[in-house]
Amino acid sequence: MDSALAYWLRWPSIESFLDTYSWAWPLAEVVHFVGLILLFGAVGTYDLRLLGVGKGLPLSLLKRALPWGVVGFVLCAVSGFVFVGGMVSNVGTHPYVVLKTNFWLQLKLLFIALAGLNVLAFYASGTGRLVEALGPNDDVPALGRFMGLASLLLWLGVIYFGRLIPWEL
Amino acid sequence: MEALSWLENTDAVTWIRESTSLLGYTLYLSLHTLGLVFLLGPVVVIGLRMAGLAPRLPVAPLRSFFPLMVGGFVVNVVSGLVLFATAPVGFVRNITFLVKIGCVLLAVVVLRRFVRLVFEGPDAPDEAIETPRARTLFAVSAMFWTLGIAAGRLTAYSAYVISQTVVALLVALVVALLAAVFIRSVLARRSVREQRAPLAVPLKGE
Repeated sequence: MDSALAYWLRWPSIESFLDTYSWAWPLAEVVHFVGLILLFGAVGTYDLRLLGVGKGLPLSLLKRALPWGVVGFVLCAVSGFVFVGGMVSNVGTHPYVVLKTNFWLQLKLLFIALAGLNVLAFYASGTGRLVEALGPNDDVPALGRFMGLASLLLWLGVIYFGRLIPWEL
Repeated sequence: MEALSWLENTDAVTWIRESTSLLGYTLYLSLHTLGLVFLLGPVVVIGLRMAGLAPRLPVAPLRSFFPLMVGGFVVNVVSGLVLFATAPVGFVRNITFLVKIGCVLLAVVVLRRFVRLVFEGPDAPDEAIETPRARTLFAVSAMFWTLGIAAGRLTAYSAYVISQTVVALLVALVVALLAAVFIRSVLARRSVREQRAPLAVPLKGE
């Protein structure tokens, strides 16, 4: 299991691509930032409306922004995969070692997983359907507000921990 | 230059630069990203609304996000000044950094004009946002934000890598634009078909 994960995490094809094309890593960084702005723009604004900021915005219309948050997430996941799979090319450390030793990377992945569970709970509990039936000026029930706050704090945590990762390599 | 190198070597700045504590350099680095997403988050939603991707979303209530945006901007000015102070001599000689600062200043000025036109003008925000002038201001601001963020990411690299990445970015932008045009044309065709449908189901919340 251990060695399978170590084998899977390191991608020689990505490493040689990064070694050949010096623009690939910085391009992935720019994509990662554009992605996180899209993600936080769509999801964070929705979360803040759950918390009562931006009354007058009906959640049934604001939800149209959410697929673009997913697009942002995909941009971050793809560029993040380049960072992990090609890590040896940039810092010379095996990504498996980094995954096992870098506390901030571990926390970031944990927070992403929790944010994902929060989304699942939001829709599986019917809260998503409930808040989208509300009028533009209505207050969101406590459970919806809690989930909005959780999402907001989890994604801000993901950004914060992500920023700390390179300083422990 | 002398003042800058004095600043770089003050005790406080030296501590921030060299400290491995969470209150040192990395705090200002992360604040700079957290401020950015608060500033640009609502801008993303405005952009989606203008592109027709979040249709009929009322524009005026977005005003409630302005204090958070201003807060994000202030956080970024302060954290940016601290980050600058950790290596001011290097930064003022770094052309990519100067390009970044120029782009961000222009992006803020144009965004401010956009906000004044749409939210503080004589017309209702829902109408003002559809005007060609509002569209132009928004597009120009978004372009400068993108350039500023890209330049900010590239500040740490060598001139060779930067020139390579700028070309790669331009190619990526052209690809993204072509994809956007393609998706728009597909969506437009689909909405024509929807309009022809005999029974329109009203959307929830209307």
